Amino acid sequence: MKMTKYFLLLLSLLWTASTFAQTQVQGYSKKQEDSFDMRRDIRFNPESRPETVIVEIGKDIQLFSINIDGRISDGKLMVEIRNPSNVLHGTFKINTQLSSSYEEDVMAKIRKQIKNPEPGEWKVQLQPSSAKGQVMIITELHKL
Amino acid sequence: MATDREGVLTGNVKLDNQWDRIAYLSYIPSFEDMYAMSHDMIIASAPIDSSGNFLFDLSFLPTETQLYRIHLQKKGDTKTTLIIGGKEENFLFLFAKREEAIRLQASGITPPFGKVVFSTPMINQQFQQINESIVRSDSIASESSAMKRSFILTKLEEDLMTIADTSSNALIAAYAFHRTNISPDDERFMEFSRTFQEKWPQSSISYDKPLRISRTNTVSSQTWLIVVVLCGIALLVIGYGLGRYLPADSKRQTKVKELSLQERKVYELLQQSASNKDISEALNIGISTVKSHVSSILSKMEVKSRKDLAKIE
Repeated sequence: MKMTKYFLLLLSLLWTASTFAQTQVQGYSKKQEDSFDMRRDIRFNPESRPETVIVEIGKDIQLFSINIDGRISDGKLMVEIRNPSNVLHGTFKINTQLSSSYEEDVMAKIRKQIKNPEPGEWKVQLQPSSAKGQVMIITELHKL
Repeated sequence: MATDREGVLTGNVKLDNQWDRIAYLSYIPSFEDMYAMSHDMIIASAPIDSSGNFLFDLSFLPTETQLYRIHLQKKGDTKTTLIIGGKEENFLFLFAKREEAIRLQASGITPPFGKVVFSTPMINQQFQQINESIVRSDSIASESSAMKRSFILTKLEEDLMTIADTSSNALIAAYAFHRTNISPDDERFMEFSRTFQEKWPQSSISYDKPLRISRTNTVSSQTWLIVVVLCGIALLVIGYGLGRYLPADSKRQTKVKELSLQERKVYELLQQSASNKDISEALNIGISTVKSHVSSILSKMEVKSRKDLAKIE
């Protein structure tokens, strides 16, 4: 009877350990094999120069999702998303320069999901002009 | 609240509780500014009642038809927030003018202006058809393979060109062409610009400015190119002529000027057939220095021997 108890205890320990190990492996695998997320926060001051953020899209990427949030309290900001063939996939311009009497920020957001995106370098071009503010770029790449 | 009263825009939108109950009207000065946002662009605001109705007074608008944007504000966002794409897209474009009755019905919830029907006027119905066609094609294209996507986008461009070519409204024609994304460097841009200006020689709208300026710019850039090419050819001809027909004396004079002061003294003595020793004594310099000068002079004067130097007049 004692032996059976020990045996059952060992069996339950073995099962718990294997389940735990499987969970760990699955979580790791999902993150590493199926999707890749990136987040970039870029802050601007009036001296900031234009900048290009490159998102490399591999041939095995099935879904490319990109969210861009731009917020400025001063100046101007233009954002463009271009594919590797330089085709425009989204743009916005935000401007506070003519309204210095307002204190409220000006914001624009792009929400874009592209299935079967063209492989290569996708570019997010940021063109600040005496801008004070920030841009947050969040990308998600999902593999086959 | 629905009314066909002139100078009033009435609309109905279905909103869930993530939106503030207020609509904003912005003036869009050009097609390039459709996705621009600033405080100055907002020209009016209107409350949205519990049934989703709103009303804008248009009596202060210009008499010409212009492009405007209605946008909504998500709770927690500022009123100057534009959300482009996705389920939260918060805006709608329309043409309007003073003393016009505009009625619209938005039946989408996510996004609120996902499906819009304009009862009046006709220009907005056509405008909406173009926009829906673009959204539909983009949506199908984004789900397709690269090859299919290319076919869909080519077909969309053809459809837009057909509208641009056949529309009886200059604004609709200009907008449809703008959405083709045909670059001003493209021959089709120049062709369309030419036919557009023939069709509407005088236009009071500002939205077709790129089409009207482009022609001048194109002619100007072509003219510049021709001028540059002609100048280049002229310089080549002048250069060749100078090289070919410049008098030999003049060439020599030019070469003599390249000699240093000491080399010129040596050169004059060489022309009198002086030997290295004679030159060394006359100028009070060593033989090796004389040899060095002679070598340099032969090289600069582009002759092979001292005899050739002596022959130069």
